[in-house]
Amino acid sequence: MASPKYIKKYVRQALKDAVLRSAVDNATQSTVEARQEIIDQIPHWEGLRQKCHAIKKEVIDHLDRYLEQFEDQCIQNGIQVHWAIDGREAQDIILGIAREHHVQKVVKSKSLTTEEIQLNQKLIENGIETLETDLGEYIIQLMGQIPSHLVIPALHLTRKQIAKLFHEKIGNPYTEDPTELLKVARKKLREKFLSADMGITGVNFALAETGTICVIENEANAHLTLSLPNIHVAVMGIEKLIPGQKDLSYFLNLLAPNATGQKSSTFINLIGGPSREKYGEGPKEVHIVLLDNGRSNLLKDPKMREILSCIRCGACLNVCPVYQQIGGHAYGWVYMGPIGINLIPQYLGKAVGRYAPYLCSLCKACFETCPVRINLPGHILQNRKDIVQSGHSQWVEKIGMSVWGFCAKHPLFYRFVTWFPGKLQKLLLKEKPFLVPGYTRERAFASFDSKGFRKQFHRYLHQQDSFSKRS
Amino acid sequence: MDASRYKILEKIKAGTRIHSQIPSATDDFEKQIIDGLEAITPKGNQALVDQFKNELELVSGEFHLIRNDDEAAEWISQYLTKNKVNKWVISGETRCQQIADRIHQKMGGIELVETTQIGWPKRKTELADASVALVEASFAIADIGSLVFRCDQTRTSLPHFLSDCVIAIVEQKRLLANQHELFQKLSSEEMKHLFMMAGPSRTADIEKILILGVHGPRQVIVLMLAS
Ligand code: SF4
Repeated sequence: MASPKYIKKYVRQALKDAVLRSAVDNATQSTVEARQEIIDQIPHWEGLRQKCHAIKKEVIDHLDRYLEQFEDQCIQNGIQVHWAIDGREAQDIILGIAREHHVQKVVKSKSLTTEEIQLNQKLIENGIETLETDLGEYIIQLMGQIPSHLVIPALHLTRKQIAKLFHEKIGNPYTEDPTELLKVARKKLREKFLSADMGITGVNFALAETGTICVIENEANAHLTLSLPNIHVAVMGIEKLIPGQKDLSYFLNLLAPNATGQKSSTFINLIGGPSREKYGEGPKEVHIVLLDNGRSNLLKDPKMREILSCIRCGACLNVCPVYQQIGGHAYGWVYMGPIGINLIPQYLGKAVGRYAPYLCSLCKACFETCPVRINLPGHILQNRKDIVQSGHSQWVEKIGMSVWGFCAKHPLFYRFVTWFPGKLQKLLLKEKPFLVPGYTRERAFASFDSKGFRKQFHRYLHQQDSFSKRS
Repeated sequence: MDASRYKILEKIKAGTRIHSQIPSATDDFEKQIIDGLEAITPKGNQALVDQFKNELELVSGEFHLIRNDDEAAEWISQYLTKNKVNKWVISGETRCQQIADRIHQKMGGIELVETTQIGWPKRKTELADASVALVEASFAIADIGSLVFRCDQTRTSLPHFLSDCVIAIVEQKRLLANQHELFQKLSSEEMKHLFMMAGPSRTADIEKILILGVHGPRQVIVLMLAS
């Protein structure tokens, strides 16, 4: 798996990939437009955002209480609850369930939480056939990649690339027709659904009051995953809770427009226990794995814990100018875009995630967009600060800041240093920009003029002064 | 595992003891939402039906208003004949059974699978190649063109998800304005096994091109029984 340690390298590669950039740009723009069209029809959109923010705040600030309530209710519903402190423990729990039931085939529906814990690799290494069934996830599994978007995993691939992949890996006659490609996948996956022993899904929302989980989808693969095999395992981050069923409608109204630009997702599944005994079909056993994996650490920060409100809609990615340029793989992990760069240093540690929070221009488009009003830019700044304070900032930055600190403490020297580039520009470089190693490889450096801030500020003060004298 | 449970809860408790600095809301916004919903809900029964039809068609579903079960049986017979269907399935509601009986009195030669009469695991293999399913929805939701199925009524979800074409009957009196209304109506028990369906199964995973019928139905036809 890629690692956020190598972000700089991935970014450089992504910026050179014109096909990727245009694929990402097209996909994000169309989702942004579709989203806006829906929002324009909802007069209480802001009210919904505020309401959901408040509901999530309540849950996060009392997470222990809601988790215990949820666990109690699940047990009453006949659901088996497991707690996993980290990814490895979650993998072991799921592998244990699979072994206990002699599982040979697993079908999975899209779940970022299972991507986060690298569940597929673990099951496959242990001889269990594990297949993604969401079309996008299936494509990237065949490709041996990780998702490049929270909602549209294969967004970076063109149909030509997918056609070639299917032809090589599945062996069907070469076709670029999306409907034909879909038929190939449907046929292949239908067989797998019917013969799988275990289905693994994620969880979009979990209702604490009733011990019910909600799984949302468009393809119907999640429903087949949770209803055809004998065992259903749902993997959820501990933050996925909401209090009860009344709250669910608010979140459902927010999620689909933000995620896919739809008014509603096509299928919404509510599961409150095994159904085989009741209805003669569905799973015999339902297991829920409650995953911490760094989430409880976030609670220590009274502000940054807000990140746990994220409903993984992907809207912040679509509006992010940085994501639009580099796509998802450049971030090196399963979470990307504005939410990803907040989660990476928190979940993977500051050493590994030290570059992530810098993939941001602080334009604040994500904050304007986020359906649960997470102050993403504010948390990005805090993450940067934490990285500096923990000593993990880059050496160039450290030197740069100490030089600046020195200059700032010596006004005369500061004046010289800020006067000099303007002069140099005028004398030697004319209109040409300065070359800054590393920086100007992909961008142009703005040229300096001799009207520095100090001069302009003095002029402004002077104007204000004469204006007040006149009046 | 108990150790992990304890550790996680202890960490959470330690964290939540620190006073939260997530900004608090100044209002509970309930009224704003209710007012907003009311403002966009069409007034009158016919307008609500029109909204449902419109929304369903926007998500590639098909809508027909019919007067009674006889007319439904007639419509379905024609559909089965026209599409040369040789195997169709029904879900567990009495109405589906009655309509299927009427159809079979008139036309033989088509295999009918009564899902809830078949045991497991034969049920899934029997339904795997079904082309048409007749099901009944517990509710319809006008503002999103969605159908709601309560499993305690359908007693199965396989016809809904394994068939190529789903024909869903729903009574007009079961048409609700929105999901808020639905969740207020349902008890927590009824919410435990439930699914909603807004049109055919879809994906836009290949270059954002919309394709129907990925894993579930390619066609969803709603027959609304007029009140
Ligand atoms: S941070 Fe907000 S916009 Fe981004 S994925 Fe999470 S909920 Fe969506």
